[in-house]
Amino acid sequence: MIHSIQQLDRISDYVWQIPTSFRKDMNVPARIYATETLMEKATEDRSLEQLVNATTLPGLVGYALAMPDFHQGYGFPVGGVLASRTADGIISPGIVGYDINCGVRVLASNIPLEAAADQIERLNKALFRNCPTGVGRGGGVQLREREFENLLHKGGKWAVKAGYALPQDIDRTESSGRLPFADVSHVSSKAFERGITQLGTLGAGNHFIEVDVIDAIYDEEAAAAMGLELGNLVVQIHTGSRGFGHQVTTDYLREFQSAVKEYGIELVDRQLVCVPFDSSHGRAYYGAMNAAGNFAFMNRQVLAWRVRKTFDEVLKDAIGDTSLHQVYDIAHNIAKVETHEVNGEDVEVVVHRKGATRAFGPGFRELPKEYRDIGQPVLVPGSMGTSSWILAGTATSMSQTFGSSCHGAGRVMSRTQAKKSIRGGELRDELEIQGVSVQAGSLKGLAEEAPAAYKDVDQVVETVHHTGIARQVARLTPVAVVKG
Amino acid sequence: MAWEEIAHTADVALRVQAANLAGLFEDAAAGMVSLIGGENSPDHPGDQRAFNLTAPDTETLLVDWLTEILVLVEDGFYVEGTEVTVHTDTALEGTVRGRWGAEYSSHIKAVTYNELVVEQSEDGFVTTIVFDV
Repeated sequence: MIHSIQQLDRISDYVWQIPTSFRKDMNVPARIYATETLMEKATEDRSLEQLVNATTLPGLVGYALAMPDFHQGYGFPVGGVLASRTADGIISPGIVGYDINCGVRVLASNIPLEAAADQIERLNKALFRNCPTGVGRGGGVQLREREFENLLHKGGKWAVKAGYALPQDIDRTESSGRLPFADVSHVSSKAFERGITQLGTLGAGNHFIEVDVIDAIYDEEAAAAMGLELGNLVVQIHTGSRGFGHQVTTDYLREFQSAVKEYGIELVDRQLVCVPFDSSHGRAYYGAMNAAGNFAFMNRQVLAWRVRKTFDEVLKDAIGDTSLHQVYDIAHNIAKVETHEVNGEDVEVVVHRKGATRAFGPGFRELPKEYRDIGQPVLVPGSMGTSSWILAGTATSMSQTFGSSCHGAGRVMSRTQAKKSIRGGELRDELEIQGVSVQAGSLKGLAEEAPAAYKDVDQVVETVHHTGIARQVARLTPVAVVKG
Repeated sequence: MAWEEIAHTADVALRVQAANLAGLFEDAAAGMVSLIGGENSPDHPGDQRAFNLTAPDTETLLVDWLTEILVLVEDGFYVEGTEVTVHTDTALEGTVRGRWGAEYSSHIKAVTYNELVVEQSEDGFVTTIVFDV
């Protein structure tokens, strides 16, 4: 396997390649976007092997791609992008993963940090109180079955009607907050039962709500279009489809273990299980996955509603204008049907993004008119104590990465090691000395998510900026974190 | 201890070894529950849940079994122990004992098929399970 960067073809300072000659069963080459430092780190785990394993699947086009935040996952690396023809290619629930449409939303305020500085601790405690966290089902919005089905099919349209969303929120959500091929008839009763009590809950693990201050602007025009002003507060919400999505993936991974044999597809790893996209199995999973995707968009939407209420509750009397306008909401784990140019021809493909984001460039029709000239916002959360970034998609991403970019910092330290070397209580104290208020459901969970467990997000952003697959718009620094 | 945590960059992995298949399923459950951690007051009433599971292969049976326990955990069940009777390598009866009203410190989202193989050797059965967290 690959143990050294010397085994890779270096295409440029930031692009590396594994040719199909590397292993006999590869159908397409693999390309990795990374600085030399990030690339060296990547040879220390099995992420490159997982990327090569995925190249063996049928119907792929272009390259199996890894964004600079990539690292070992299950089956396919986190930070991976894989495109397969809809006509004769596959869709893989194992690659999309369990937390379907885990993603991030950014809300921006007109509140300068100095105006709210003495209220941040109180604000953070109120966010922790008002936004349910943790493993279980408690705290979700109570829904009747009929309304839950409506939500799963209509996504953002449901939220506007139910009073949880402003019309602008929906315009500024990937796919307008509604994946159109959602089909609840392909969702199991178990997934339905797990999801119906969890709307508007953060969950645990790496999910968080973070209040940041905008500490640098790199693109004045794009920042103005997104309503980002230097020194103002913004909020990031990172969560996904909770037990609903986990169960949808569990169901289809199980079913497809048998189905894959019917289609004569050989797997290097059972987690890469897949079926032809254009098949009854493929359509069923796609319908269920889109329902879970809509649930995740709405989960973040209801949390955004809770965050807005919390800003009103804590800051309205002192500050007045506590409005939070949506910058954007993007998916990290999803498979989407898109048309991309491959070898000079437009080809309809299923783009699997696993720990990667869509990063479409200027001119994309789905974008609201204020974003059409600047490109889609790309939201890159950091790791509690470090910067986060807001970027914009580019034409280069369309030609090089199926319109995709990085999704975050990317882990570099195992959770086992993080728990051994970092104490949650000490980390919380250090972050508070650094000026970051911390509310966490579990100190053990906090330690696992320590900044030291992640790559340098600035190097990740440097890579996508210099390769042109996304460009820097604004940098954020954390002032308060709620961890699940 | 018949299970140990294996380093994994993003997720959590367990290597489990047992003299027989029933033991492998029980130890895998114990290891998973240990990873989740959590607390429960002894004042909460005890309860148990029984499962009859069949699957196309042993690995899927293991995923099914552990997933049933994860769903119980999500509902707030504090797992104190399990007993498994294996009928064949693709069918089991399992009982999960514990109490309701748990508070958990860590989360496991799902049990993956990542390179999942249940292997038999002279010493019994062994497997490595990767959990999505």
